[in-house]
Amino acid sequence: MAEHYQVAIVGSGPCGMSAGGRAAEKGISHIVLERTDHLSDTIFKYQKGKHVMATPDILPLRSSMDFEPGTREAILGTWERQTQSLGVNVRFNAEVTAISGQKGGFALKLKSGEEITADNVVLGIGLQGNLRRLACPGGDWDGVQYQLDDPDEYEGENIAVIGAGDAAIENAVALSRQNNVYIINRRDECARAKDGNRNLIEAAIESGDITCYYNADPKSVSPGKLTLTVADGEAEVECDRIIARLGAIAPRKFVESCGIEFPSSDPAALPELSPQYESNVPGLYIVGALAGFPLIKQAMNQGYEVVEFILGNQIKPADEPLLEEKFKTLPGNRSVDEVITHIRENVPLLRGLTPLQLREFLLDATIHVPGKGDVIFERNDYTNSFFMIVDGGADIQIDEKDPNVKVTVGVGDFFGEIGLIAGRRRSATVVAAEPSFMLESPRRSMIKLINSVEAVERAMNEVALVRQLRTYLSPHLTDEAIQPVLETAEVRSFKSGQTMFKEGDADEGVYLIRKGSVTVSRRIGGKDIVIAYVPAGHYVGEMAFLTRARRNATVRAAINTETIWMDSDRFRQMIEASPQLRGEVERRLLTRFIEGESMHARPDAGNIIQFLVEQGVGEATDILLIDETLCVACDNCEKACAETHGGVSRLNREAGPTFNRIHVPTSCRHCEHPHCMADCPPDAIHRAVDGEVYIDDSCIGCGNCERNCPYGVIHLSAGAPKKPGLFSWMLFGLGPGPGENKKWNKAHKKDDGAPKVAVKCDMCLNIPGGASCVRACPTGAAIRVSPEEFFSLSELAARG
Amino acid sequence: MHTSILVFRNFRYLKIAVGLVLVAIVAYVIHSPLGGPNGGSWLGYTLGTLGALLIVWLAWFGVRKRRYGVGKLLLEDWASGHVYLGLSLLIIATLHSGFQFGINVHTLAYALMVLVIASGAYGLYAYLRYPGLRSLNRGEGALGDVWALVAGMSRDCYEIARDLPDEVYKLVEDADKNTALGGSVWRQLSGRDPNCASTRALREIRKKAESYTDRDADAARRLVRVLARKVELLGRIRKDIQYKALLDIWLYFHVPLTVALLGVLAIHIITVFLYW
Amino acid sequence: MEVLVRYLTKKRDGAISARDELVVCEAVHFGRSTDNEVELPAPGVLLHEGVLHKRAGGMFFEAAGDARANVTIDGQPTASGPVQIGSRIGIGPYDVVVLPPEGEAEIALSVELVRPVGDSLDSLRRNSATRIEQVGIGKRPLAWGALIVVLLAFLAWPLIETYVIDTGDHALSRNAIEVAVKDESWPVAGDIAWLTGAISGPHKFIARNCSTCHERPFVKVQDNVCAECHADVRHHVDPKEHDLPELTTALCQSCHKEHQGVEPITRKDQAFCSSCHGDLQAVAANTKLEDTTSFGRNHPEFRPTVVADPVARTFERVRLDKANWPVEKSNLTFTHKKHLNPQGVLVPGKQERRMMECADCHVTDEGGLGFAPVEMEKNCSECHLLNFEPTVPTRRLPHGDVEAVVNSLREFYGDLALRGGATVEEAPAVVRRRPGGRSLSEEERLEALAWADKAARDAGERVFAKSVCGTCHQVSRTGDGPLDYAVAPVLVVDRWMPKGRFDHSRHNAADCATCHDAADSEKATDVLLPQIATCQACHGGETAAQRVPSTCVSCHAFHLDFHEPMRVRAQAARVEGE
Repeated sequence: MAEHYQVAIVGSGPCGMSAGGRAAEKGISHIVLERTDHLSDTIFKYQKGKHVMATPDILPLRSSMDFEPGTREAILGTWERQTQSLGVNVRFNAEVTAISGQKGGFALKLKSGEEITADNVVLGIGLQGNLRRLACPGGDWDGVQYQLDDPDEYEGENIAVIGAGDAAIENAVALSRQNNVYIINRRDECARAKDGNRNLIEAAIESGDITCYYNADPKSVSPGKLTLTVADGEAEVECDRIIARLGAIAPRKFVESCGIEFPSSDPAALPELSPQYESNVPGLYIVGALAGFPLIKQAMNQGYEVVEFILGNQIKPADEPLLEEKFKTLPGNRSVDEVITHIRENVPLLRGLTPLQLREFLLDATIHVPGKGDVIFERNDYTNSFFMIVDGGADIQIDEKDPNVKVTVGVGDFFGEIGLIAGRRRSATVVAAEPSFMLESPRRSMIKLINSVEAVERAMNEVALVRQLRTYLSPHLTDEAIQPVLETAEVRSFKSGQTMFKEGDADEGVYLIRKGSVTVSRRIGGKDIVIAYVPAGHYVGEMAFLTRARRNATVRAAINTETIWMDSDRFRQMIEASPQLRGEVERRLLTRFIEGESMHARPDAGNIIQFLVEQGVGEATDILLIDETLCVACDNCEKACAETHGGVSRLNREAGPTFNRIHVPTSCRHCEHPHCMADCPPDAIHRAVDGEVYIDDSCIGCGNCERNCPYGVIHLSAGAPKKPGLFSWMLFGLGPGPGENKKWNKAHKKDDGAPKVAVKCDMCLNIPGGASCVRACPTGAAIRVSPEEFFSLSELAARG
Repeated sequence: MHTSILVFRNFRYLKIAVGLVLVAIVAYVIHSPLGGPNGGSWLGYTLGTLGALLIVWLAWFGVRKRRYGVGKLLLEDWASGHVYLGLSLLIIATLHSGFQFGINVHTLAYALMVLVIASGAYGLYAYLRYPGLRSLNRGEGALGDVWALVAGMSRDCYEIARDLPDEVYKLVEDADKNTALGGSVWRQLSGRDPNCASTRALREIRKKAESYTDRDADAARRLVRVLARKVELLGRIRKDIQYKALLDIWLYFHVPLTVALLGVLAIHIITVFLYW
Repeated sequence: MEVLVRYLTKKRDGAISARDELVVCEAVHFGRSTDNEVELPAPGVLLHEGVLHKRAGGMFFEAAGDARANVTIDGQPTASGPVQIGSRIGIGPYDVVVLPPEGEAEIALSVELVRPVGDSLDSLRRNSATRIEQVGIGKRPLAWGALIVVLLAFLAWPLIETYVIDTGDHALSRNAIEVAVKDESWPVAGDIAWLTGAISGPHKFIARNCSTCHERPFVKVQDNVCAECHADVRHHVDPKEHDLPELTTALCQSCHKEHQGVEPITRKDQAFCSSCHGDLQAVAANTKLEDTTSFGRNHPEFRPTVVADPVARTFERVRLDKANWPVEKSNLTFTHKKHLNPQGVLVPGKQERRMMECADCHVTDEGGLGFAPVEMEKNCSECHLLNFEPTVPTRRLPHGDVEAVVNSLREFYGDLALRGGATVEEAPAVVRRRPGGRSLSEEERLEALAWADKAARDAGERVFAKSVCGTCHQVSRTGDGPLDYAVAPVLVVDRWMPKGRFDHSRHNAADCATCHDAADSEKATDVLLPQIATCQACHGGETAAQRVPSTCVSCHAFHLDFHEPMRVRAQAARVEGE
């Protein structure tokens, strides 16, 4: 007879453990099943001494166990102790392979073959899942490892890294600093990896730092040697150590096998849950990362709550007070639930969300209650948040010159999507048309929303299309004029460097760039010369049909780019319909002719564009450029950066490429779609109104941004030690000088445990007068510009 | 966009300096004090005060340069002003002296000032000239991590020379262990190394290689090519070091002289009033 | 045979990883190159280091010819020798240890790099210095050094020397010269470096001790210092009449600037005067002086001081004006014209005419600045003999005293009458008798004396009323008595222009007539001065281009003798000093 519990908790992560703790407290029979031989594997796998943050700070911790910011060791220690003292019943090395049955009678099958039954099951297995193991003979050699705590541990070794995912690439690159590294890739490219990492690894392979075996499969492993099957037979790799990063078996399959349904096939999608974290299978609860709550504190709270729910106590979620706080500003004090239901009714975009998701979504969102005529945001603001109208309405002033040209949107409508898509300045000013109730949600939670609810993206695209045409072509386009174009218009995406159309191709349509940017090049003297850089908000390809000729230039995506493709004939009809547009288009055409011609005469200017685009200037909104003919290498820019940012410089002047006297130092470009924002657990990375991308104090030092940045401008760093005053350095050489960051007295030498957090250029957001690096350049060699400015012909002419 | 400190804000500080100098000159010409122009007349005191203030302000540049994220002006404003007002000081101080020179602390102050300005003038020249040359010398793309590059080549040399006779291997070792970049101040300024181990090795090995045959021969050829590349790189790096040195060296006169000047200036002011 | 070679590599954490290799060979060769069984690729290893044989009863290591220096066996430098299990063969940076055979391998060796010769990167970094701050001394020490040197040499030392070492009293006093000279004993004054400029010539004798004048630090040089020598400097104006602060409150040094070179430090510039004298009304409403700014341009006409009344001895200043030229009432009768007669004048006694010139009477005084007063005895008496008795031409009258003249007459004729021997016709016999012989009777004596008395009276008449005195003087009778005469007192100014200085000696290139028109002067009352125009013919103002540039002080003094001493404070100080 298998042992039976009231609650079986799968996974001893923060949520599972917390649930166990609460259960123990409440004295209900429970068991926590942990796959590994230690608690909370995910955190266990953090780098040694890594500082763990407790975000979001506002969220109160509700758990039988303590948790506050501290080193990985400290936190694990506390949990260890408290599971003991609370008498939580944990079973290690107990991997659950299957869950069957329903409320009251679940059966959990363990890898060891034994079976456990329980009334309720709490899934707290997180997203890490099980690491895939090396399945070839000899794979059990102790030289094979599946994780890498500290790359600097090893040096002078031959190390084979198997896998082509982000983890593998990051490890390989980190190791290649001190070791001789081979990377074994099953495919012929690192498609699965993030762009940033892909660039990294390709660069490393290019430069020979890393040897790569493509289309290679591990055949066998013997101590000190790895045999591969490659396209042309076999290859042997001598290695002191093998690091296999074969990814994890995503828990989804397992979860689905338990009968739980997911709303979409999107891998990022989350299972639908009741407010009590109960899945569509009664008695089967899901908490933590798997439920879409990656933060430790959230997870622990849910662990606590889920137990309460199971006991039938309808306690309010921990975030209740927070939401109350949020909704205070609303007229007619309604309860949180009322407001939520009201929002759900009025905003179709949010209907697809589970109550839990909605709650979380609202936690991130900001409530606005503008009066009539209040400005929501201004044209050219650099915000990329997204607005939904719950009550009331707003006027979108789409014409810069004439505020009376406006589109009115009402209840359930949304706006701000253009900024969200293009990652550029606001293209219109929005004013509340009447007293309203609006939700503003940050880019991040929108992306999360889009990923988990397909409907949202579709809805957004349709609306966006029309608005983008209006905004980018002419505000005066009537719906009738646009309609025919819309019918065939479609969104076409291009990867960085991909060709849209070639010189000499037949005309097949017009591309309106709504995201990213492109370069226009022409074959001059047998080689491609870039003659123009076209950022989002402009269109390309009109020349061909206006001149009724073939494509007279090649257009490539400078970065990952999204365009709205429009059929030529319909586009022409639209132009004929609107005289303003016609003039507008003609004007742009002519200027483009002129620019094209003068670029002909000045190929080097084109080369500069080419070069800078390669440096990722294409997606930059603001980039630091150094004129080498002026730079005296005094490094005052770096010092200034360090001194204005807690002693740690965010910029490396010397590093970075140079072309035609223009040097691009490693420093943040404040991308349109910042790679660093991509996955930041505490959502600590934001874009300020003027476009600065900055990291706030809630950074937990996870290092994701550092890895995701293709330009290597973010790094983890503990703050520099406090320095003595400037004069005591100038006069007596006391302590580190400007920009120097050395431990300069015993006190500092001791404290090494300082938490490392990500640091990057914030364009001196909070310093009046702007970027310190530029202001501190004595010779005027350093400037910060936006690509449009820099690529302006006059500027290039000055250099040509 | 990029503007050098000379043309900065289309010569704002040049204009200011010129204006200042003109006013001073005119005043000097029309003013005829007791016993000829001298520091003791009212104009003398005025010019003296102006000069002293200028000197202190110019010296303050050293501090302002290290005060980051403060003030309304760019550092380039200060630099540009530093250059032009610094030059104008030459005239203002001369007028202050009323061309009364002698062997005394007062003239010493003047002399130091002239030296400081002279060194500064060189600095300006260097700043305008060498960055361009440096960039040219580096060629497209920075030199990168030159250390790793050179060391890497040394390792390649070892690898290639493994099977070559010991006499060659010795040279390779010598080239690796005794090659230096830069060195003494003079070395850095000269931008070359007359007895560079690598160059020597290349020369010697080349001679020896002529007599080698088959396997040794083509190993030697590879070796010579790597060494040649290394020597070429070393040359470029040394040139780079030279340019950097030329950009830095003047400060080793400019700054100490400035400090001395401040001292003597203080003495000058104290003593003229001590013996009023 | 088979040989097991175990390559050991030490990791940073100290752990040793081993890589085994099985080689089949006759003898085990050690060396750098790939043709050795045991490859030792690290720097510091020769191509061929040696070979390990297996022979009966053991193993034998034999170093290659040129490798002897490189090889040790069990720490002993040796060319070759037997080795057994556990032996340690040192080859360059490597240690080869003979292990007990394993498995089918007959010989087992472990090879480890124990003495690595540093990494290329390290050695390169070690050898190199690519920034100036990495070699030589930094800016900070240099700066401090320079600063300290100048402070010591030019501030500390002078201060110490002046206020600590050399505490001797350099105060100037009546015997200032000695003070200055005494100091020759001291080598060099520390504060010499502070000298702002050469001291004026006249003051050089006190140049060695700054503290002589600079008494108290940070206090301007006070007048009492100057007053030590320049005791009696007078005011420019009478402060009681005109209270002008710029004159009464100014320090000596506000006008007299020292350390401006060797020239004297008096002010010469015209502007200095014209600043007031250009518009006197502004500063002194009740002045009698007229405005002027430049001698060349607008200097008023001269106003010589002439005698108004010789008896009352009063003077007046009268402007030189062709219309009414000033007259000098000196009570003299004199004509330059006669004396400067081109035919010359008759010299009495000797029958000759003689040409006279100015210098016969007007002799410059020893200063050469002015002229010695003209005196009857010195300058006139050669011609104006003052004789009265034709028969005794050698007999002369005294000059300047009427009494004396009368007495001299009486005395002369009385004596003549009594002695006899006179050659006068109408004289009685007794007067004409041969002198000597018997003595006279009472009657004869009375007769003789009566004659003598008459003769004296007649002579007096001649001298006073007619020829002699009257020639130059105005003679008047004072009573009815015989010889009751008086001569009007004579008064002549010694300088017509006391406020102006004119140095005749510096004008002696020109002859007198250029300025003084004496030749035609017939009266003694003539004031023989040129008008200012005459001066201006040669002299212009300070900035004159075609004339001799002459500033105010060329003729005028600033400190005027006839005013009271200028600096009362200074006076007081001096009194204390004594």
